[in-house]
Amino acid sequence: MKFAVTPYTIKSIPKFVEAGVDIFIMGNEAYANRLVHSYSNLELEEASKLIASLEKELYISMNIMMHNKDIDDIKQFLGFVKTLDISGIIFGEVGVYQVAKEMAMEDLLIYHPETLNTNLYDPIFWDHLGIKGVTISKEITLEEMKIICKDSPLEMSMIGHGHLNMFHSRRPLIENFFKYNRSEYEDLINNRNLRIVEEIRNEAYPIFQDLHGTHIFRDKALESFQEIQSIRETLDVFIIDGIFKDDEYLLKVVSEYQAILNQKEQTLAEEISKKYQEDHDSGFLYKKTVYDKY
Amino acid sequence: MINIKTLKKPELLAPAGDLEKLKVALIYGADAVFIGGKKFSLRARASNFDLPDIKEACEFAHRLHKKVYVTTNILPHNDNLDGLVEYLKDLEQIGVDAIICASPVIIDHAKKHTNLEIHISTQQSATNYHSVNFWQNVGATRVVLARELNKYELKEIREHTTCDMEVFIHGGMCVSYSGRCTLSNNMTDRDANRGGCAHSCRWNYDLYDGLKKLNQEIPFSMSSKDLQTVRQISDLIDIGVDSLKIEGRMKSIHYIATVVHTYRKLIDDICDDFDINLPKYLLEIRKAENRLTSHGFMEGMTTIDEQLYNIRSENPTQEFIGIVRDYNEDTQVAIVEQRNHFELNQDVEVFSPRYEPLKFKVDFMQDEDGEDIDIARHPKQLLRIKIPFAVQPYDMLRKI
Repeated sequence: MKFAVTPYTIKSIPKFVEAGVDIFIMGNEAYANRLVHSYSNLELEEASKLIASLEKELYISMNIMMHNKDIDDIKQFLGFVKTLDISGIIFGEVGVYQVAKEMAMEDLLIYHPETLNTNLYDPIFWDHLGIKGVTISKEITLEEMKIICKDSPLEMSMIGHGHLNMFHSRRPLIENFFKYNRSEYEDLINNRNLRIVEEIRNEAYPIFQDLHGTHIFRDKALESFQEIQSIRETLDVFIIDGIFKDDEYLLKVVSEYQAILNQKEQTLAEEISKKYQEDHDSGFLYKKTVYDKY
Repeated sequence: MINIKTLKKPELLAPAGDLEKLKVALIYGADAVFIGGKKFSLRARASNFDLPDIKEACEFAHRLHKKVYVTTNILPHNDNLDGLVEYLKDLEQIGVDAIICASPVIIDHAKKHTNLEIHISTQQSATNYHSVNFWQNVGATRVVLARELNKYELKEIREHTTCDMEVFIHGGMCVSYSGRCTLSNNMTDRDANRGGCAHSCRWNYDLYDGLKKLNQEIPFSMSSKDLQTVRQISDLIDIGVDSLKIEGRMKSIHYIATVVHTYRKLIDDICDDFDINLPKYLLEIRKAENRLTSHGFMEGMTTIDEQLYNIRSENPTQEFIGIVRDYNEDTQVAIVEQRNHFELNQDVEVFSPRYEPLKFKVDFMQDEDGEDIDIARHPKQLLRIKIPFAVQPYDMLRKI
């Protein structure tokens, strides 16, 4: 199993490699949603060379909900990406597959639509279309995940750590609310310090508006310290998403996962997990959502 | 580039939460209905059709040369797959005209084991022409497009695909891209992609920047007005959209009849090149609306006019008081099933798929046993009411 992270800076990459990271997920905000940092083409070129020199891998995130107006830009950016030393392209909308296929790049694609890869047939379907990998939906339990990964023909990944996105609207919801109230809003666009709290739930959900619309996240970040040993047996790529955190946090988390895997001590996993309990939880790893019943 | 299709009359597709709603939708002018079976369908509470019901639905629709589509649009988890092939074969055997699905496992199994026509659900949020062509390449004949598209994007999609395009024209809207939302899963454990959406996007919130509360007078709201596109139908027909879809399997028969009939008339009048009196259609459709409406994304990015802030979204509708079950032309007495309280001497209009609303006063009303009554107070009570012109089963009575 490989570790993937979303670095905030290029200069941190060597430190991540030392800590045991194998894959770096980076992108440009014009073509990707919910990045920790938007990298220019020049920066991506630099990162690509650095990562290759360290014998590690770069995945480019291109998970926007593509609209017609984006198609030409996506083609152009894929043309640029083709010149880089990369190992994967993460996409979330099937139109991007069509564009990549036209450019004979489908074998680099990893399908990560957030919610749609929910059963063991999904990797089989995508294998027939010649892509590289599939990221399992975040509302899938640990047991389901293991079944889906077992015997999968594709590279299987999951977000194992970090704030999970739970909502994406094309609507500018922050802007519209303040326009309705005739208040200033410009400073609130791209502000990642915003939270919404529902009337009867004591949970603060991160929310932000960017050029692709409005995004809302779970209040607590997911952690899988106690599960990492068993996850390793079936999963190919364990993604640690650093959104709303920083490189320091990411480095610490990677080191702790590595320590658990190296020492193979479940008690250490429990100790580390306990340290994170205040603002982390196990997401849907053990929580089966209700089907057809209300 | 593919040639634009020649102008044609699009299909009017309506929702049906049960058999009665299905019959009403078809009688009032829908060309096709979509229904939820008891398996593999979202909107659990609106999915009431077991296999014999689906069979009856198909027989009724096919007698009228109309179609029935069955939603099999959940995104199943591993343990939801039991019985899938048998169910799909049953649907084919019964004669459904298409299934509406979102998950590759359902799409591929339908292709492998049946000849069912496959429509791609809006749960896949198809937002561009490449996406539509992708689904056509894997075997779909139609794609239900994302509600986030404006009419210019729809036109561009039409120019780049031969796949059937289905577009929502009326009803509730997801605030999120459909199928990409787990607010409900996270907040209530109810799986939005398996029939349990709790509509958490319509709740009230407080908005904070750090510890500072930003909303003062009113709660932060993301809630959307319902979609209503009377003004855009002409453009959608010009574009060459194949199917115009009304949403709302949970809605009442009066809502379905009114909305379907209004769009039916509008589509027919546009295609028959009649003068279009838009205020008339807008007035008519308001008789069914119980929530505020807007054109959604049809004219471009949503503004505050497409959102709901600090207001109750439910408005009273023109009151629907009964549905005709029978009529005796000799005695001019109709059997009417009561749906809302009303009294003798009430002025009413008969709403019918066959003619413009006709008015009369209820001056003769008896119960089922022939006893004179002054008040119709019991839900679903059968009443004998004198109506001075011919009416037919499924005609409706409204207070005026």
